[in-house]
Amino acid sequence: MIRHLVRLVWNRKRSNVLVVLEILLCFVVVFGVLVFGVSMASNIGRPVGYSSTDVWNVEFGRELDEGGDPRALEMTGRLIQVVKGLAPVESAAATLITPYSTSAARGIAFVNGRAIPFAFTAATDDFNEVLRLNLVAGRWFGKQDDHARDIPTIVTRDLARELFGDADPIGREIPSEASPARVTPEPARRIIGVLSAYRAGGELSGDSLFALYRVDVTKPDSTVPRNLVVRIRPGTPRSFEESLVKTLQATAPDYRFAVEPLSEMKAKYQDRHVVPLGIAALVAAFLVVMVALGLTGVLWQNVTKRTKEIGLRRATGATARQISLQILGETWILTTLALVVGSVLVLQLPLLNVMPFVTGRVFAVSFVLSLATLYILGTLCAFYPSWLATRISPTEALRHE
Amino acid sequence: MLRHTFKTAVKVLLRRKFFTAASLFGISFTLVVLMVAAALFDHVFAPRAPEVNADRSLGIYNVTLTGPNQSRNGPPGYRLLADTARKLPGAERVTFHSTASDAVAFLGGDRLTLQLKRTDGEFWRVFRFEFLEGGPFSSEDDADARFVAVINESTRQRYFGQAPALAKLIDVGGQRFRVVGVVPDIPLSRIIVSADIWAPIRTAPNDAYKTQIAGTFLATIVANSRADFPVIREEFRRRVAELTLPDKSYDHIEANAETLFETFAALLLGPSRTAVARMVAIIAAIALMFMLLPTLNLINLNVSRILERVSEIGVRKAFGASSRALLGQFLVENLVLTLVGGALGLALSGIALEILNRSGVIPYAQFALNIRIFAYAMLLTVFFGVWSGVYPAWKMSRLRPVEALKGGVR
Repeated sequence: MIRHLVRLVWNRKRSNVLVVLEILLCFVVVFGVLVFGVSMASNIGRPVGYSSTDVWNVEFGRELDEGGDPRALEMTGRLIQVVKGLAPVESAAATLITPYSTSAARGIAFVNGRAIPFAFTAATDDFNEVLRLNLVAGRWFGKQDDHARDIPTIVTRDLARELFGDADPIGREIPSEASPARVTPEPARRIIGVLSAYRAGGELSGDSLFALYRVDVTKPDSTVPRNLVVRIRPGTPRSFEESLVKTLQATAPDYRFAVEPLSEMKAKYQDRHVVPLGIAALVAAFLVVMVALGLTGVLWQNVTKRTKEIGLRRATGATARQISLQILGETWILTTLALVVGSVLVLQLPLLNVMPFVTGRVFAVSFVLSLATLYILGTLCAFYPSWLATRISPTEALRHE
Repeated sequence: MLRHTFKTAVKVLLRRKFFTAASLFGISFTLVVLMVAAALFDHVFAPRAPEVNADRSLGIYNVTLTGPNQSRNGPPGYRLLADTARKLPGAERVTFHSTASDAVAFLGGDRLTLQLKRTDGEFWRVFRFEFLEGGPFSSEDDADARFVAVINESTRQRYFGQAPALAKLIDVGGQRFRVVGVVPDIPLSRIIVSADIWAPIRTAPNDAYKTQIAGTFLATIVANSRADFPVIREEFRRRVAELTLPDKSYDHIEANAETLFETFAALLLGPSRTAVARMVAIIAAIALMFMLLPTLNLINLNVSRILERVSEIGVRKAFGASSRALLGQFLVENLVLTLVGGALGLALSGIALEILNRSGVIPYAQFALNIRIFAYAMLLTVFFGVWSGVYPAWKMSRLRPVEALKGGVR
């Protein structure tokens, strides 16, 4: 039966090539959108490693000043103290980068000459309390690290594994590039603790390599933070923003402060990532509808043209079911042909490592989903024409000229 | 005669409504997506007031600092620009301006955030703003740190309603400026020039910016002509290489005089000489991939439709119609279909852009149809429509009537 169908398809190869090509392209488009969608969806379920409810972010600094203020660190320490003194505030810390913001900081580690990029931020003590971070080994940094020669560093479990394999990372330093030309060596990034997770790129990103450096406000060459993160007591009204800014402004009159709850930053962050994918999905959906209409038309025409052939089969005893299966079967064969070629094309992507952010599982899921979509699409398109074919009566068909 | 052919074409298209609808859907939808994409691209990159010199301008929009433990990239600082971008050979003008930043203003108890941009006097000669009131501030205003400002229409509306704003005072970010000019709203997607309020650089509340290599400033260089680009780039690169870096965390600096498109390509694909070529290739590949599917769809539909009409061709030939007359008929049919699809696509694109404009996704945006892209798209559609709809018909029209009547070619 299948061999027979294949021969039927082969007999009409000229017109079928274009149909196969169309299905193939449609498959590539569907896969392209699905792989991004599935990748995002698979990231959503995993814990980010921090809590954003009841946390406000206050961006601060002088206008046009990228860390040029010599009092910046001292001022940071004073701002934290002042904020902590306010009644609705549970805890506060300063950080270079806040989750869900548009800025990012990239660090580099070198293992056996291979550069490993990771996200980092530098923060003051209590950052863990504000964002409710989850430590799985070692300890937090705190007062006892004042005047330490090295930079106390906390890394995620994934970064530790990337750097040292299964060995205990506590007490080791993040390996830098050996650079003999440097006169003043950078202080070592000494690992003192390990986090279960901290996904600096938010829920939708798969990034899990992250390091947290301690900001020491007493040390003049420490990184200058640009944000305060403030954990407020649950139920504090938004109107607290005004008195918060007033208090900060009184401490640092020439600074500017921009308050935004982390929950709002998170909503904006999600829009930034989901909207482009939504547009791509919309365009892809329209393309699929267009292909469905086109394919239906082609198959419909096919059936009308083959009235005589189908009538002959009915006359020799084929049932309506067999006829409709023939039309569906031919479509399935065309779809399979297109999908085999499409699979070969798509499988090049992981082999060439074009999409390093896509894990094997995400790839497999989106691959299977795209195959299913195309088979369903093919079947739907063949449905009406195959029904039409069963309506052909042998007597009329044989007279048909 | 032509009218008759036209009427026949419409009749034929109406006879198989499903095929006609499927073709029209494909053509018009493809056009809509292309037109919206082209409008978005134009909106950011095309030379248009106030960026009238964009096609012979280079900018310094991004620096990358690399050290042994970290790297950072972002806008350059004022010191980098002051040390390297002044008096470049081949440059007609150069302007330094800060990136727009939030400035808080209190207006009758309401707190509002304005986008504030600090610029030099040259800014207003490099970019040509249309002034609704007054005019720009000058280089002398900047040198003397006079508290003057140009505001946009929306800011005037917020502060003064319908009344003129000239010479009035406004308080923004703890400073008081005298309004010297009012300009129309510039969409945010024009990231180089857009702001709500523009003030002289030297009115900045502190002068930390003067010492910074990486910071919050941009430079736009207008070349005498595009032919001077290589000279400018080369000299700028030489000067950057000679800089000494004050921050000991970094030991390498990378900055280039680039077009806006080059900056985008480098940001997305990583800095390299081939970034622009690769970016263009990627955009072309996406556009081609996108066009290929509708094209195949159109071809498939056309071929199917023609095959159905083999016997019609036979009848017409038997009654003495020439190949030429048949060809003409199919040509007109296809053109009518394509043109109706095109008109539909144009109308839908207009609607889509109008919805985008009104939605305020990009503040102050006014997307416009790019007629040139539309013409290209139509040309392609007509080409493929004619090729796939008329070529098989023409082949059939050369058959002998008997063969055609019997069912024709396979």
